[in-house]
Amino acid sequence: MWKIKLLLEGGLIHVLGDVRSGNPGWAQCNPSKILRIEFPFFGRDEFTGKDVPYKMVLAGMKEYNFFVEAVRGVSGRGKTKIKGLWFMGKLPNSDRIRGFVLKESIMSLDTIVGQEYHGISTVGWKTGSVGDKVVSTIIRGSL
Amino acid sequence: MSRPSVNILFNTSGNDVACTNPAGDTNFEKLDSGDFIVWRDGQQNGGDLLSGASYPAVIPDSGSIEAAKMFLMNNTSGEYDHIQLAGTTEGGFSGGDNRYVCAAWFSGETASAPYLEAYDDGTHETWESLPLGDGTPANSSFKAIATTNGDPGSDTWAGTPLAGEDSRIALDTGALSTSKYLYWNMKQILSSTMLTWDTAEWFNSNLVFAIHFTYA
Repeated sequence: MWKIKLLLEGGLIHVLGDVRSGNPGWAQCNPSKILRIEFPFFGRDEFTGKDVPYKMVLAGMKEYNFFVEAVRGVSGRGKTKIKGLWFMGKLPNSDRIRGFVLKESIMSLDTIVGQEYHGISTVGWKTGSVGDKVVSTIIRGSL
Repeated sequence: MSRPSVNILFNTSGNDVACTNPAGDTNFEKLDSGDFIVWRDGQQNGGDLLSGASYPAVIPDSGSIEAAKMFLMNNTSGEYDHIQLAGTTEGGFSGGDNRYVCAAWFSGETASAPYLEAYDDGTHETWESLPLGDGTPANSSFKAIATTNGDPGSDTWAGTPLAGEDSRIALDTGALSTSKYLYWNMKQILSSTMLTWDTAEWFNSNLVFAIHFTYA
């Protein structure tokens, strides 16, 4: 839970650090080709108020990116607070990006390359693998 | 690219020079626990005790004016430290075309360009209070200009109103690839429309400025 799982070429699986920590591990990993990204997390059910397990899945993308969006107050009481988790994939044969932003709610991303983060570009993209079925989904009740 | 440390520093000297130490140097003071920033009337001076007389910025009868002086309220020394180069010449003191005034030092990489923003409070979720424009970001009373890559270009620089994610400034042109100091200058604009506000809004101490950034 809260750790990104990378499914790589050759059947290898690589699990990164807890995204809520100061070192999620995405920047440090350097896989040859990512086939699929899975991210299990808990989300609050708006009707019952209970935590429900979800799993975000991206697959079939030509490149992937992930980062933590954070804010740090400009005052003596300022601490760094996580505002969102961004998961993105570049669609094959396209200049579009699909993915999800996990904040207080789940936001679906559909934007163009170079404007993926509030209209600006991001760094840290990692190579995917084109050819498999493109997947960009969040599954409720799945770990 | 683990989460970078971010230090906030203010130049309390009259020297428009870059910061040389993330912990502060002879020109820059690092914002520490219990420190705040505040704008005051020209009668307030650096070295005045926080426990002493307070001279609030004066709201004009008509039109708008720039608050005279910006201070770091130093919780350690118990004094007001004048951020002398803040604002423009319209503040009537030592503001102007000054580059190295406010700084955010990043210890390492980011995934995108960092932003300076303003929020209603420390939850960093909303920007609808009267000082931040009452839902109209262009009316925010706080304006800032990024100076990481150059000075403002004018003694009377206009700046960008600060109101959450709707109106903010990028502190650099792109993601940071290494540790770096980012700079900005800022000012508070006082308008006669503030005369209609409740006193609590004049002295709203919940407002926060924030550095918005990303890491992986």
